[in-house]
Amino acid sequence: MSKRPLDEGLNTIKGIITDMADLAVKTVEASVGAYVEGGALEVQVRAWSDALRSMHSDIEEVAVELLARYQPVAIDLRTIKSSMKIAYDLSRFGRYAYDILHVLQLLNGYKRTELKDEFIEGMSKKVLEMLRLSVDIYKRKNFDRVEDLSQMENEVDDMYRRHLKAMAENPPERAAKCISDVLLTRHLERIADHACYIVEEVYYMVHGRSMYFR
Amino acid sequence: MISRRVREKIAFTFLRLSALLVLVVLVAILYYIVSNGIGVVSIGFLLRNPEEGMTRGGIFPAIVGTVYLVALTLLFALPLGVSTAIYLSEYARGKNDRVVMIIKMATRILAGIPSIVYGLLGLGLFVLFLNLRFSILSASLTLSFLTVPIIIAASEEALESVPMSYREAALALGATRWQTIRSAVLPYALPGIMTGSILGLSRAAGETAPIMITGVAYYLPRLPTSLFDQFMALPFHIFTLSTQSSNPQLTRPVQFGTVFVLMALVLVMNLAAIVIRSRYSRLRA
Amino acid sequence: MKAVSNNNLKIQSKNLNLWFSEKHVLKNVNIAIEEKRVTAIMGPSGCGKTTLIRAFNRMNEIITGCRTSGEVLIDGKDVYGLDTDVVDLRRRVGLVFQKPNPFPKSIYDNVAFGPRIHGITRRRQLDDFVQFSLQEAALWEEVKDRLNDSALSLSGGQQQRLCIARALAVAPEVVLMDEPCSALDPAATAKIEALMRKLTQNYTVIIVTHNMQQAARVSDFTAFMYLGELVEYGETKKIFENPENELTEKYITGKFG
Repeated sequence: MSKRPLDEGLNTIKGIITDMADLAVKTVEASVGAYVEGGALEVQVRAWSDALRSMHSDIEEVAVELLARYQPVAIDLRTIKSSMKIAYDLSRFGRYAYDILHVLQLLNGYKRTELKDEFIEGMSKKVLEMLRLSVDIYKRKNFDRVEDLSQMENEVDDMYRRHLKAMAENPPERAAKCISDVLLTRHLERIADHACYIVEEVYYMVHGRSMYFR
Repeated sequence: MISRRVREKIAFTFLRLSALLVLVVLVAILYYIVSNGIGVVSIGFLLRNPEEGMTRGGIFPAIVGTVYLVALTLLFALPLGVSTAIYLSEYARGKNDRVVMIIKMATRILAGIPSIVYGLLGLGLFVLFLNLRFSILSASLTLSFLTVPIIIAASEEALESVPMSYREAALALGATRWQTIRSAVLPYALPGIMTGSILGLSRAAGETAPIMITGVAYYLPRLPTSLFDQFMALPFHIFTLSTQSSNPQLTRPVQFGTVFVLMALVLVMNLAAIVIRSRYSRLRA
Repeated sequence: MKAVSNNNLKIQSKNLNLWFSEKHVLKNVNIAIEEKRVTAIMGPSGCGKTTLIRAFNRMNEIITGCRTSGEVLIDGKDVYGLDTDVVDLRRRVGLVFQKPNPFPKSIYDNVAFGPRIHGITRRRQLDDFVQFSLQEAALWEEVKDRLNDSALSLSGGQQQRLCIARALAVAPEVVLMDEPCSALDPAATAKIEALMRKLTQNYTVIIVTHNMQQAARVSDFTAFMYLGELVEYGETKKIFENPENELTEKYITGKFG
C-alpha cells in the first residue's frame, strides 16, 4: 500500500485534532478550576479559546483542499467530514470555558466565596470526566465505554433540570448567585452535549452509520 | 573497423544501385519495344486483319481474341475467387478447422503452379473430358483456374485489412453476418479486390502455354462467334511470328507491333489498378 | 443474489460463467440491473467488466473459443436459451465501443445503417429515424446542415455521439457503453456524461468505466468487479460513502497494490 497524496493531509488533520483535544480538556479544566478554587485565569483561558478557534479554522481549510483536490471516498471522506464536525465541537469547549469565567468577571465585585456552590462543583467534575472520556474514545476509536458516557450524560441532564427547578422554587437571596448558577449549569450541560456529539461523529467515521445518544 | 557512417553510406549506395538496375532493365525493355514497335502501330494495324501470311495487315482478330479471353476469364474467376476469399476470411475466421487450413494451403500452392500444368489440366478436363473441344470456352476456363488463386490471395488480404471495428459495429447493431459483410466489409475491401483481380487478369492476358493446348489458333478467317469457336490471341501471335514465320524479315515489324500492343494492354491494366487503389485509399483516409 | 431492489429489473444474470478457451473470465456473476437507470461497472483492468456487458448482448461469441454457462434474463427471458434470436437481441441491446468507430460513410448513412439493415428503406422514414436519433444523442444541432459530410470529419467527441446515435437508431431498450469517454477530452466527456443521464428517460444504460470518479458522478448503481467476480453491487451513494467489502474500499480509496 503506497502512500497517497491524500494521506499527508489526513495526517495533518489528525494531528491538529489531537492537539485540539488536549488543549480543550486543559482549557475546561482551568476554567472550572478557577471557578472552584479561584485564580485569575481569564486571560489565559481567553488565549487558549482563541487558539482552539484558529485550529478549527485550519482544519476546515485543509479539509476543503483535500475534498477539492482528491475526491476522497469511503473512510477518507467520512474521516474528513467527521473531523470538521469534531473540530467545531472542540472549539466550542474553549468558548464555553471562556464563558464560564466571563460570567464571574461580569458579576465582579462579588466575592467568589459568595458564589461558590457544592452542587455546581459536583456537576463540573462529572462534566470534566465526560469530556476526558469522550477525547479518549476519539483517540482509541474504541466504543466499549459508550454506555458509561451515555449514563453520565443522563445524569448531567438530570442534574441540570433538577437544579433549574430548585432555583425556580427556592431562589437564593442574592440575584447574582442565581444568575451565575443558572448560566454555569447551562454551559456545563452544553459541554456535556458536545462531548457526546464528538463520540457520535467518531462512530460515523468508523462504521459509516449514524448513532445517537438519545 | 569501418565507421558506422561509412557503413551506412555503403549500404545505401548498394540499395540505390539495385533499384537503379531494376529501373534500367525496365527502361531498356520498354525502349526496345517502343522504339521498334511504335512505327508499326497505327489505326490500320489495330483494325485490319492479317494479310499475306502475316507479313502485312493488322492484328485485329488477335486483339479481339485476347479481349474476349480476358472478359470470359473475369466472368468465371472473379465470382469464384471473391466468394472463396469471403468464405475463408469471414465465415471460417478463426476456425482452426482442418478443412479450412487445407483450403488455405491449397490456394497458396495453386498460385505457384506453372501455367503449362494448368494448360494440361485444361486439356484433359475441358477439352477432352467435358468435350468442350478446342475453344475459347476451354481456354478461358483454364485461364480462370490459373487466375483464381491470385484473386483469392488479393481478396483475402483486402478483406483482412478492413478494420475489425467495422464488423463489430455492424454486428452490434443487429446485422446478420452476411449483412455485415455486404454493407460494412465488402465496400471497403473492394478497391483491394479490384486491384488484385486486375493484376491477375493482366497476367492471364499474357499467358501463352495454357491457351496453346486449349484452343488458340494461328490464323482464323473469322472472329469467334460462339463460345465453342477457336480464337486468336496476342501472346500466341507473338510466339508464332517469332518461331514459325514464313519470312522473318517482313514479319519482324509485325512482331514488334504486336508486342507493343500487348505491353500497352498490360500496362494500361496495371495503371488502372494503381489509380483505383490510390483513389479509394484517399477516400478512406 | 445481489439485488438492490426487486422492482423493474431489466437484466438479471444468474450464475453466469464465461470462458475464453481455458481462461475463466467471468466467475458466477449474479447481478440485477434496474431499468431506466445508469449502472456503472468498475474495476481494475482485466477484471471482466467489458466481458460482462458484452455477455448481455452475446457479442462475446464473435471471439472463437467462447463458452458460457448460466443465464442472462432480459425482461425475464433467458437470452442464452435455444430459441433466442441473437440478431434481434443485439438490436434491443445496443453497444457503444471504447474507441469511436463510425463507418467511413456520411453522417446520415452511419445513423441510417441500422434501420436499413432491419428493412427500413423509405427515405421519409429513414430521415425521421436519423433526425430522432441524432437529437436523442444531442448531436442534431451540430450536424443537421451537413448530414452528407463524412463521419470522419467530426471531432472525437462528436464521433462518439454519432456512434451513440447510430446505436439509438434501431430503437434499443438497453444501451451498453464500454468506457465511452476514455478516448475523449474532458469537455467531450462532460457532454457524454450529461447525455448518459438524459438517456435514462427512455433507455436502461450500463457503462463500463475504470474511472471511479466518473462512476460516482454518473451512475445510480455501481458494481465493483475483481478477477472475474462481482465483489460488491449497490447504490452509488452507499458504495462511495460506506462500502461493505474491504476490497471495494481498497480499490476506491486508491489503496490497491
